Amino acid sequence: MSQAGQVARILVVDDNPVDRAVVVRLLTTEGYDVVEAVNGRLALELLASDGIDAVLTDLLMPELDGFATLAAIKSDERHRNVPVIVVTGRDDLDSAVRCIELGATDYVLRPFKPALLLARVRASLGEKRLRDLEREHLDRQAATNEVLRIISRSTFDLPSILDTVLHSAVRLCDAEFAAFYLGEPDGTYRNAASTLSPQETQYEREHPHRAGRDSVAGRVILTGAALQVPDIQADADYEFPVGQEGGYRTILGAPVRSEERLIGVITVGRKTVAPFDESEMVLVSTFAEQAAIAIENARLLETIERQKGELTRFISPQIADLITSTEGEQLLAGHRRRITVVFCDLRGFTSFSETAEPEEVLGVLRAYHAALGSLIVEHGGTLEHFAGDGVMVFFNDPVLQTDHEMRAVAMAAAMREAVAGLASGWRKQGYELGFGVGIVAGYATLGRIGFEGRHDYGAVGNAVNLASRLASEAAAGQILIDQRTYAAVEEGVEVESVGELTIKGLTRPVPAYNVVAVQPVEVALVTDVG
Amino acid sequence: MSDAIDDAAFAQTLEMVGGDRTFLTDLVATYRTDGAARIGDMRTALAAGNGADLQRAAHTLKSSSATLGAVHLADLCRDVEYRARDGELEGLSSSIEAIATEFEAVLGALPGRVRGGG
Repeated sequence: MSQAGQVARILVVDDNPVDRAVVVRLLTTEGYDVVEAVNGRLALELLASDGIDAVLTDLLMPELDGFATLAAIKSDERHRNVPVIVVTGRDDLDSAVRCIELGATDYVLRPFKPALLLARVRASLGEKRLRDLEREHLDRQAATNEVLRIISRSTFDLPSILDTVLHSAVRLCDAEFAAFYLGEPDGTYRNAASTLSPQETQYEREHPHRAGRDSVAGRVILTGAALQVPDIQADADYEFPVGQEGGYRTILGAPVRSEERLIGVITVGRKTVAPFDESEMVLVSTFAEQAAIAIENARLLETIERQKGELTRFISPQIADLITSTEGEQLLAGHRRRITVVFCDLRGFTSFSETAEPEEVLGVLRAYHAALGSLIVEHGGTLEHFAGDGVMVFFNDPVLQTDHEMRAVAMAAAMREAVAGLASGWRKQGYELGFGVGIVAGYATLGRIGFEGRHDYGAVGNAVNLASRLASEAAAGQILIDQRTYAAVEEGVEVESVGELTIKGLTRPVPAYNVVAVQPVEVALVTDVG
Repeated sequence: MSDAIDDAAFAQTLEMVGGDRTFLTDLVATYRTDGAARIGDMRTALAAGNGADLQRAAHTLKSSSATLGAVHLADLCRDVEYRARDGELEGLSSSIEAIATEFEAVLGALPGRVRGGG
């Protein structure tokens, strides 16, 4: 493949020494690099040693004639792009047609005007350059697509993505090595992947790069820009042993940036002094961008997994899952649904927290939260918030539960029992704390509530307000439920009416029931997310 | 001067080699050696009744003669080339001898042209 600016090499095939000498002379005078063959067989041998940009062939030759030579060139994948110009004295139409059909670029009849032959040579070389560029472009396109495909298929398999990036860079840039250095918290850049030998890679891992002029990676870190050193052996400042001892000469380095911040460096190098051209530099920069995407993805996954782990400790697993699910965004955006809301808190907590030592308060809360937390999870409740002793839980969202009212009541009863156990211990320490619950079934709007940087998945609506009021009305050990909840759980619970409660903000009194006992229920496992 | 060399055709060849007369001198020497060999090939092929070899030898001499402006010789060669291709070998002996005679005439005329005379 001839590169722009390089002298094109033309193969002249003719058994006639006079004609061949004249054509060779013409092309040489024009500045072309010319090689000669006296028949087709020798021409094919010369062609196999790469670097022929065009072939000029006679037709009538011993051993392998022009037609056979042409056919052989055009049927070989490696040489198909090489233009073949037939130069002949055969002026019959059949020969010309046959040559064009076999893939000849042009058919020049002898005697020819020198300017005409040269024009046709120039044209076919130009066409070949375009085809080469096109092929090169397609190759590069295919390689970058391949990297993108791997990024999307194994999004978080960083090593295999980096490996693909580096091998593609070596292949497409005619380089002998490529390496990737990942920025470390201490400001050094350590070899995270490379096509170097195991020994070289080992050395690099033990000797991370830092900003400086002693290596190409160091210079990229220093300047933040893509650059190349045309010959590291001739560069006074270059001192990195792997480059020097590995016999590398030209090395190109490109920054890998994430949101304008340098997170890594890619280098590619050759063992010959052959600077990378602009298109190769662009290609390496493209690979650098892809590496950046892959690294960002991998870090994102790490963050999500970590946050999910942390979230699960503080909020319900349902919401932790929801946040990372595909339906999540839609649910978070807000929706209306019938839910059962449970509010509970500790009677006497306010005065307790005012008089007790902070350590004691935290100790009580820790035991209380631990007891409630496991029961919330067990019953499939969605914890909306913990606020000191106040806890709000709702059911039937985001996970749909046909028996949400019953789950709420069963959970509250289990909580009452658990807190009663704790309360007897607290009493021995002198703290008088009772547990009160309010439960209301009704419609609420659910979704993301809050402001930038601090969002909660929450519920808003009358049912929520009413549950909160019922909880504050409840005496120690009471679980107050509203009419709707009672209607739904009637068969499974034993209640006593507490009459109609007058609730601040509501004009009409609200009938409420205290749950005395709950028959053991089988809590169905969490079903589908709706 | 002789009609063996066509002025326009020779001028084109001169243009082709960038007016380099030293190169042309070498080229004529090549032509002399190769042409003599082709005429020998023609005689051998005719004697052996090998039309294909005869065709190829005539073709080659035709082509290089045309290149050097020896238009008449090229015509004689073309006649033999086509008749050999068509298998009409009869009577070609005298045609080949005519080629040999014209070849000598061309060789006699070429050095003068190369030097820039006439």
